[in-house]
Amino acid sequence: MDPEYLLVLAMFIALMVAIFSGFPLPFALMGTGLIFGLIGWGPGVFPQIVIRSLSIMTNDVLVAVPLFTFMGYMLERSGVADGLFASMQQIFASLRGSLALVTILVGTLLAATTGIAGASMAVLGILALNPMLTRGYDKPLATGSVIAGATLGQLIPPSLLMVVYAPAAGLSVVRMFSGGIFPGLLLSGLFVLYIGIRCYLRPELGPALPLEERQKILSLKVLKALLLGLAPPLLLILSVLGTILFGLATPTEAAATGGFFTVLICIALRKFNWQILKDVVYRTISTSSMIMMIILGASIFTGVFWALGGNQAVEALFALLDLTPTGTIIAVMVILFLLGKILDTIAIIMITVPIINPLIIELGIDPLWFGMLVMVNLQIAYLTPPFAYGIFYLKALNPPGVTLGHIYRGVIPFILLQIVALILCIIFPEIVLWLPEFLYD
Amino acid sequence: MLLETTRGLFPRASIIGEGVLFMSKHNIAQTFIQSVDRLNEITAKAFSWLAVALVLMLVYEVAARYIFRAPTIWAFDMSYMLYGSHFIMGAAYVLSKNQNVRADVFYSRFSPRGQAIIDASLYPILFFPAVIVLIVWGADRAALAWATRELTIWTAWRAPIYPFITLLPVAAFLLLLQGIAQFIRSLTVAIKGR
Amino acid sequence: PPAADQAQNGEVVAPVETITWKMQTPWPTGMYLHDGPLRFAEKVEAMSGGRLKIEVTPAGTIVGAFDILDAVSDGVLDAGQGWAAYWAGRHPAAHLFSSTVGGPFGMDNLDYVSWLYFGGGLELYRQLYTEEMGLNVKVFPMDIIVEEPLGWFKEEITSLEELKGLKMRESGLTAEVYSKAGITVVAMPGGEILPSLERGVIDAAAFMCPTSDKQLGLMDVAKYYHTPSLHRPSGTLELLINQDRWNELPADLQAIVEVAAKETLLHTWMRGIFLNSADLQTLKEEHDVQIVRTPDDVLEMQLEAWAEVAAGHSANNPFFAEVFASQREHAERVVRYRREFYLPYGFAADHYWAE
Ligand code: NA
Ligand code: NA
Repeated sequence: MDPEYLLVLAMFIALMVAIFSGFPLPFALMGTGLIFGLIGWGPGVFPQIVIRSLSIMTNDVLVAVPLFTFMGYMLERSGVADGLFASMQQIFASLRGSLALVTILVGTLLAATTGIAGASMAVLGILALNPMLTRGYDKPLATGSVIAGATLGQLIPPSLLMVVYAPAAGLSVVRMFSGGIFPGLLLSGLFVLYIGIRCYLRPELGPALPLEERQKILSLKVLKALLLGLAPPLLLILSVLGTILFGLATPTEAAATGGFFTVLICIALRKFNWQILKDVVYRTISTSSMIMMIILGASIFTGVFWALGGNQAVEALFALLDLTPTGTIIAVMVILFLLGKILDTIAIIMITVPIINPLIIELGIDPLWFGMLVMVNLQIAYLTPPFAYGIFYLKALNPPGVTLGHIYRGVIPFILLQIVALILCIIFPEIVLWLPEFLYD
Repeated sequence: MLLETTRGLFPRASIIGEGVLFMSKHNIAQTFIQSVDRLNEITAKAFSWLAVALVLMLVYEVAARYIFRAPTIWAFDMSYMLYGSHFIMGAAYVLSKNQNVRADVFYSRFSPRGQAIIDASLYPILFFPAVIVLIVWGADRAALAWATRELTIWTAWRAPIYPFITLLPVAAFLLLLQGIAQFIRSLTVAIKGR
Repeated sequence: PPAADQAQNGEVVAPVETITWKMQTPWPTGMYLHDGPLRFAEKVEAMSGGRLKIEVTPAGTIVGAFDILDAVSDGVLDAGQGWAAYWAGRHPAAHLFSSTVGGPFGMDNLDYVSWLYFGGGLELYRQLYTEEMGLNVKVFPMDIIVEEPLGWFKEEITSLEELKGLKMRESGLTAEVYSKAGITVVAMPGGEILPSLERGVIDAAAFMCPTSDKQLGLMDVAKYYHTPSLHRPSGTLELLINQDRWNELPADLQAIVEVAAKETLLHTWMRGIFLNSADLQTLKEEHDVQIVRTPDDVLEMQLEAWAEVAAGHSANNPFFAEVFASQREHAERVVRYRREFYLPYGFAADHYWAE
């Protein structure tokens, strides 16, 4: 190995040590960047840290981060999902495993309104988990479908992960959004199929809704309730995805209109007051500041990594491996899957994309397609322990009688389904590329 | 100056430890930690409302474009300045509430004291140097922006950007205060074991 | 290991000191403007026999694209490519060294470059960075982008009034001047231009020139390509070198850098004409792009609105006024000379290539 790459190697190892020491991630990144910048580069690293921080502070795409966060928390408080869940439940009442199926479907619809997985997670966790548990659903199946349904939010647009990915890879946010729709629906479909088939074969896993809890079909009252339940989420989907797809606004503006409409819906549903707004606003600054500081720290780290020739080291490494484009994709996917087990998704994007994306372009691989493969891959990261947001969120809800073992067993089939979806997207790039090409070319 | 700060902290760790104990006996450290927590909470909560301003401003921008056919010239520049101020001024609060993401695969298996030892020994290496650089060189950058009365260049607005740039060293200073508070917290647990 | 080098006859050769520079461009890899700095580095390395090696990285790698001037001055980067307009937030005269809407008093690129090298332009350029802005930077003109067209339109326009009825994406000085003229200018991130034009968030957008517009794919979302335009009719990109790094270079390497920069300027200029003419042909023949002549009143608007903006800067900033006057002085003789003495471009062109 070229001796000049030794420093890069040392820097990478130091980063891993710093990160897995458990020190707050932004400062593990910043601190490692500064130390190795000083060693390998000199005082140039001091102004560089400031320059990169300011350039994150003035990034015109990441403006969407606090906006989607605000919308997500507002949505959580709006009770929009309650009506949605209740009406969907009536539609599918006679099916075995109906509640788990509805969880996935509501997760799919919620995904189209919110950009952060946390919001869906909180809503579904509160709304869907208890009814399933009290009706004797299989605990792994119940927890697995809640987590899987909630993580759809990252793939079905709008998606905060895409907002972060796009500027790092020089892609358009809107194109990425449109690329996520079919992979997201594919996954949702796979989940539904899996739950449907499993519960059909083993009804004890997810019994159908008892007759006394079903409403009479076609009564006007039920129809009205159905409409009232479905209208707010549909209105929200229209206010976010609609404004983007009909060409009314940029993704950032759509995130703002989405937040605004959510507030209006809260007011209409009488779920709005000063206390709720204050709570949402305070949680928004915590969450978006937390996310943005990771991005800022990673940006400083990767700047130093480039300055020390880290990209050349990575290029040299891949040249040494001499992989075909497909081989490279598979290698990168495996690396990302493993990183996804142990690291935060935004940090993964911010650390790997600036290094890997130039390599992808050089190999003639469509960066949009590749970006969507990364998105599908990182969605799995929400489910894979030990570092799994999905599992953290669910644990935090502390559902009665549910052990960590139930959750771990519950997510395994969904992880497998996500891997299937990823492989399908690799074999059939049209799943990703057809819609963006249809819309924008 | 920076290197001396980092290098100097190791041999003096025991002195600092004694200092911390002394201060904790006299409640100086507690008062400091509580004031910093409070300061950063107030700051973050004040700046948190920028998110609402951002929502309203962008909704107005979309409306102005379609209903009045007259987009503003300020919304674009304002949007990133509001967003940048929002998250940077919330950073110290996130630290004080210990809400930063940690890759805690191993960390979570340690006892509270073990965790405190990890934190207390890493603050001087990973945290303080970087934050001090942000303060010192950030202040330098802000001074340049004030001296040249720096303007934005992307839109017709040509907005003054120097107050915004100044927020970086200010936020870094708040981070430093909070970092000292967290450091004392960890050190106390590391030494006293609770 | 240079110290161990021995020539064939056994004579010990003095060790050769290799200098390595980090240079960053404001362009992503793959964009054709990134090729200019790459070629510059290649030539410097070849001419210096490998004594000066310049590692060129694309936008956003070490610092952001719009932080390159500061980064070079502070020694974060040893060298960089920039476009002077990026720094206009610090000093309005920076506009005069990139390109101004309306252009420098009728000068085209050829006249403008002659002002830089012979009309006192380069001295003023250096004075701007070192004395006016207090930076630790040595600047060289290095790259020429061909004249920019007015932009891509969903519908054909035939007058300034029609342009005022549209939403157009523009940025920087052009946005300022257009707004002053009453045009609806929409600001948005560069990455959103294409989908926004496709979906109708905006009705028109300017990006750069046929080659890069084609690379971006604008012909897939709008069919009317309006040209010519006076919003970026001349100007160069710049090579920025940290002053200390420059001072450390031995005289021969300094000369090599200077010559390579000038040669790259010529090379990119010639190559720009070659590539853009080919790409324009492809746009017309394979993508059904309609080339539409910009209405005269739009061109006049560009001249008039700029005069107003420039007068404002001149009144407030003595250095701006000095540079502006220097351009005017050079243009007065050169433009008159070329108009009086040269054959109009269309004369022989009509003979051979009449439409
Ligand atoms: Na979503
Ligand atoms: Na994971």
